[in-house]
Order: sequence, then structure tokens, then C-alpha cells
Amino acid sequence: MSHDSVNPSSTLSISILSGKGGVGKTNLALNLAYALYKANHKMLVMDFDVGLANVDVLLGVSPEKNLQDLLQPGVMPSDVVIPVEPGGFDFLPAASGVPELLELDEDGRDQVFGKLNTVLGEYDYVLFDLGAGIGKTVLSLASMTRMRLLVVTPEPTSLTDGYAVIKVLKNQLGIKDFLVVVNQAGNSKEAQTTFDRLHGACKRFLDLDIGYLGAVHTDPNVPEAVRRQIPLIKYAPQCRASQDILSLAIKIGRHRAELRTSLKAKSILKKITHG
Amino acid sequence: MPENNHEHSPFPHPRREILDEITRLREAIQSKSRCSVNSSGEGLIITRLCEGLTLAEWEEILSEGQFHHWLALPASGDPTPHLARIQRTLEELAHQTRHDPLTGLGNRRAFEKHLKMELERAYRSATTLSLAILDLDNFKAINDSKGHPCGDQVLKAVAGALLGHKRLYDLAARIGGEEFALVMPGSGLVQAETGLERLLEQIRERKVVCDGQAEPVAVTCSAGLACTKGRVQLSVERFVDLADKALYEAKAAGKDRIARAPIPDLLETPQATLVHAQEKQFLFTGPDT
Repeated sequence: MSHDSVNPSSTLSISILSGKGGVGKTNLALNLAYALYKANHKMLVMDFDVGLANVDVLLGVSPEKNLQDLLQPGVMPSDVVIPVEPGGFDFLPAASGVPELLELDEDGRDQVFGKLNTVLGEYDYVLFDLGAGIGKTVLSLASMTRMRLLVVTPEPTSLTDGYAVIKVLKNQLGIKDFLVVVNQAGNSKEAQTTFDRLHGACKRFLDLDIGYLGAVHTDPNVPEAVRRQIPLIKYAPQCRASQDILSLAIKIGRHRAELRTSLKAKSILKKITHG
Repeated sequence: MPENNHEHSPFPHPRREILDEITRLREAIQSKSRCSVNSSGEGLIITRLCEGLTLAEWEEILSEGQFHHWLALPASGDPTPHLARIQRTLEELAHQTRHDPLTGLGNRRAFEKHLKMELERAYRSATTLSLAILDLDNFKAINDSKGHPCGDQVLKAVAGALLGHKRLYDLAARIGGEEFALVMPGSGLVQAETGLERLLEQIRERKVVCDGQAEPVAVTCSAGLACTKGRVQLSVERFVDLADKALYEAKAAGKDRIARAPIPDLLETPQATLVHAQEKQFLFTGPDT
């Protein structure tokens, strides 16, 4: 990995986390990617919810190969990556229902990323849709990417789970930068209160400032797009949630523009050794 | 290797004088209270020239007096037979330092050394390690009523059951008079207990036939089981103590059974990442309450 320590196309790696399941993390990841793709960015979405993967269903694709196949000798990223839209919206699926593969250990990750590193630089953004919880794969991937989006909902249990993810990543792996998205918000005030509460807890108990990327409002078009297996932004580009996601995408784009110089100097993924 | 102090005395020592001297030496060493061949690395090899003594005579003295720890080298002539004998003795001593002579199992020393290594491995690689300490029930009564040779037969039978039960990479040791240990790398509490139940069952069913005893001797075992998940660093003493306490519980609960020690790794919650009640409360209700 050290050979790729220079990142000429300033590819930004982003992990999308949630702590709690069912907060709309996968759907948000997919739509953010789609929005950025529509803004002429080259995107790779990687399903890293290993063992319980769902991005393929949301995209309406039936992959023949997946992430785990990269562990096989001779299988290359081009054999596994699926072009979802022409000209730069690619998807790398993971396997579902294979409990042994739930956690990729250090060696497994090394093999997978050893192959992926050759292609990551072709994209502007690489999005990792991580599973819920605080398993080893989630923690290590979250600490490898250059940006972390934490998805919460106004539901208190989503807040406590999201907070637990932050606390573990900070105190165990020294990660201190998080951007929060409040999903399924009833209104902007509720979203702001939700973020303020999480931020307040991080400030008081962890002495940590977290960033607020924005909110996505509850929208009846979301479940409909899921049912139709089409990205929401493609299905209903004018709806409230789509507009929210577009705003988030614009902010992420600004972030990358600001980080551009520093990104070039760093590898796309931070090399870590952990479990 | 001992280095002979070839200091030729001008006067030959009569045999009697040597024996007196050895007796005095023994008393002197005893007064210093310790002398063993347990190789802690410290200690001295003491040499003395016994003029006139032949190898044949020395062999005789060795076998009659059980002086296995004494080594001899010739003052002159061909040292080959003597060196061969020293080599044999060293090999025997090396074996003795690790094995229990009665049962052939590892001894306490081998057990502690092995367990220390396995605890280190478990901690470094965050893997599971289990330890069972087994103690024969009512062994004193067997010794008293059937005699010590029969007691020895019983110990050998239990050792045989242990050897037959253990996996290739487990260590079985006799760590006390009627106390045995089984070190099981990679086994968790549940797996180790299932195996131990089978072992106890085998021992229960295995009747020991002793010379001169009409009835075969029935014997049972109690066991204390400890386990680590490799997440906390444990000393040999602490791990053995956990298994010992569990063994005590098994005895107190009526013998012929297994008791489990608490898993130390699960007792210590990682405080650094634990989300406390007050943090949850804050997230639920905000800072005002």
C-alpha cells in the first residue's frame, strides 16, 4: 500500500456508518453517490456490509461475483466491479448470508485492498457502505477512510448507538473527525435538535467536536424508490429528500475541493493494522 | 559440563576418609538447606578427586546408593566410557526435570513452563486457553486401605485416561501427589467442559485392578476449570488459582464433578469505550434534566 502513498487524482474515501441498523444508511450512501455522479464525478460504491449486503437489491442488479471473490487468486477488480451507470458509477457488491465472511481479518483486508488499490485512483470518490454495529470490519474500515459520515435518525436509540460508534472509534482507534447526517427527520428543527444532542454528548463526555453535514427529511418517495430498485434521485429528483441529498452532495464536493491538496499527499486509504 | 579439579595430592586418601568427608559435606549442604538439580541456572557443580577408585567400583556405588546426580570423570586414561555415562546421566536428568517418574506425564515444572508460554500466546494472539486441574477423590483412603502400590496403580490408570483423552497439542501433567493438570489451547469453557465430562466418565468406569486385591478399585475425580479469552494478561499463578478455587468448589459440592471458574476476560469491561448510563440519559433527554 505504501507504493500508492501519492493520490494524484485526489480520490476521497468516505465510510458511511450508523451504529444502529435501519436508519437508511445504505439508501443514503447510494443516493449520495448517484448525486455526485450526476455532478460528473466518478464514483465507486463498495458494499462493505459483509455478510448482510443489500446495495445490489437497491440498485436492482444481480452480481455474479462479489468482494469475497477478490480473495481468490486471479480474480481482479474488473471481474467484480459492476458498472451501474455509464461513465463512472460503479458498484462493488459483497456477499450475503455467509457468516464466516462477516469479518474480514487483517490478512483478508490486505488481500482485498492489495487488488483494489490499483483501481481506486480512477475514481473521484470511493464510498464504503459499512454494516451496523461496532464489529472489527466496521471499525477498521472506518479508520481507513479519509472521511466518515455517521447516519443517525431522531430516534434516541439511533443516537446512543451512533454515539457508541464515535466513542469506540475515538478511544480505541484515535479517530476524531466525524460528519453527521440526520436522516428521516420530521422537520429541520428536529434534525438540528438531534444533532445538537449528539454534539453536546460528544463535547461533554468525549471533549470532541463533530460536524453537521445536514439532514434528510422523511419522504414517502424513499420507500417507493426502494421498492422500484431505482436510486431516489433518479426516481424523484424534485422531492424533498432528493433535494436534501443533493445539498449534502454539494457540501461533500466542497469538502473535497478544500482537501484537494492534502489528499494528493496521502494514500487513498490509511494503512492500519487492527485485529 | 563439570570441570575436574585435577589437583593431585601427594598422599593417597584412604576410602574411609573420603566417605567421612562426603558425610560431612552432606551435613554442610543440608545446613545451607538447599541443593537440587532443578536447573534454575544457579548453583555449583562440585568435583573431588577420589584416587584409586575405578569406573566399575563407581558404577557399583551409584546403583547401590542411588547417587544419580553424581558424575565421574577419570583422572587419567581413556575418558570415553565415563563421558558416555555422563551423557546418559544428563539425558536422564533432563527427562527427570520435565517428567513425573511414576506416570510419565509432565511434572509441575514442565506444566508451569508450558502454561506460561500458552498464556503468553493466548494474550498475544487473543485466542482462547483452558486449564483443568483434576484431583482424585478420597485418594488417601485408597492408599490407607489398599496400600501405596495400589495407590500408584490408580495414579497410573488416571494418567493413562488423561493421555488417551488429550489432544495432540494439549499438555497433561501430574502437578501434585494426586493432582493432575490439563492445558487445552484453543478450547473455550464449554468445549473443555464437554471433553472433561467424558474424561471423568471414563475414570469413573475404569476399575483399577491391584495386585493382591480381590476387588478392583473404583476411583473418581473432581475438576476445576478455568478459561481465558486472551483479552487480559494473566500470570500462571492467577490462572492456576482460578482453576484451584473452582476445584475446591467441585470438592465442596460433593466431588466427582466439574466446577467452572469465572472467565476473567469477561469480568473486566473496557471502560474506555463503554457508554455509561449518564451518557445515554443525556442523549435521550438532553442537557436540561
